[in-house]
Amino acid sequence: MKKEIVVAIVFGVVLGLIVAVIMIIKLRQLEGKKNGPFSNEAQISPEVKNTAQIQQLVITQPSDGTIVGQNSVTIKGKASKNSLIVVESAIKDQAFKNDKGDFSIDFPLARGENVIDIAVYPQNSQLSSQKKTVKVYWLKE
Amino acid sequence: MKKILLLLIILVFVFQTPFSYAQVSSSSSDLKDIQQFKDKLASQVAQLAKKNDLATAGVVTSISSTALKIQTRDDTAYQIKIDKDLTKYYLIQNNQQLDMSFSDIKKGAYIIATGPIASQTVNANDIYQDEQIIVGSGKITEVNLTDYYIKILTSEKDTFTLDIKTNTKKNMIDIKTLELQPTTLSKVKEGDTLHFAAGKTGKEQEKNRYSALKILIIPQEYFQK
Repeated sequence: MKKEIVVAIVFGVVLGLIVAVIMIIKLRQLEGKKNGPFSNEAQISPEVKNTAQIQQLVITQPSDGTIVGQNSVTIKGKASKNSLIVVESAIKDQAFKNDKGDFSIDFPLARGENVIDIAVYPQNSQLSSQKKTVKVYWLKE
Repeated sequence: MKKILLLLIILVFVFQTPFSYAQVSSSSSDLKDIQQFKDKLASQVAQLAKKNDLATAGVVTSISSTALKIQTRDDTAYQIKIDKDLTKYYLIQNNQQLDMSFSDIKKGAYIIATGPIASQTVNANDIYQDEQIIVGSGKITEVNLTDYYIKILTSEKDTFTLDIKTNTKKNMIDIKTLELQPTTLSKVKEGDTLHFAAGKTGKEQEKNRYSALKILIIPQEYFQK
């Protein structure tokens, strides 16, 4: 066999290997992107379960300091399932069981500043209560 | 030799093609990322613009001809810049909004200012004078039936003394139906949970002692179910 032929074969094999390695790396990266960071169920499931058990109180609406032009506001949020939620302001108290996890209530406002306390008492009395305060202003007509 | 070279070229082409596809799909995902970033940026700008329309409230600590200084509930100081031609003043009383003037605002008043906010300075479009209300909750540590007050300890370890007046609204949660029922002080026990609302005048004689506008009791039995 001629020397050039051997060199060409070796060059071809080495080039092929390099391309193959690059391809494998790239394809793995792409697969990782497609499946997202939570593709491995075994790795994350315990954390997800823990988070579900201790659902933090989140008020998605209204934002603190919101100005509205009417005498009521819709309060939306998330809290642990079956917890007791108490919503309180200077003019109204409301208590209800949070059956679904997400909640949404219409709450009356007084003219001016309304300091609204939202407290959550989990069904499991071993867990501590949580509280958030939002201020809503009925100022605009 | 030519055949081998041709084979090599074909091999390289075959290997390169899927690699190029990977690059194309990768660059299209980059475009998607850029678009997402643009959308995020736009929503942030919109949020900032909206934020400028928020209200700021606090107790007036000083007054000059062009500005007021206030201290908010969380002890943050804000400067409220006023424009003698543009800023409007209102008094909120008995759920009504009445006109007032700049000279009616006194040190110690509780005001709400609206207008663009930047670096703890509000360029006030409107200023409203209102009553300061505090709301809170905690566990009852003492019920005094002689002097009609209740002491509570909050989760932040603050103690509040709430004077119960004849006009204080008193409600208790029915632990079965969760409906609010009118109650009396004699039915309230140490260990119950209490939610309250009270007016703050700034002239209180004792720290954290207020006349309660209303109280709501959650009996301790609710948590023992």
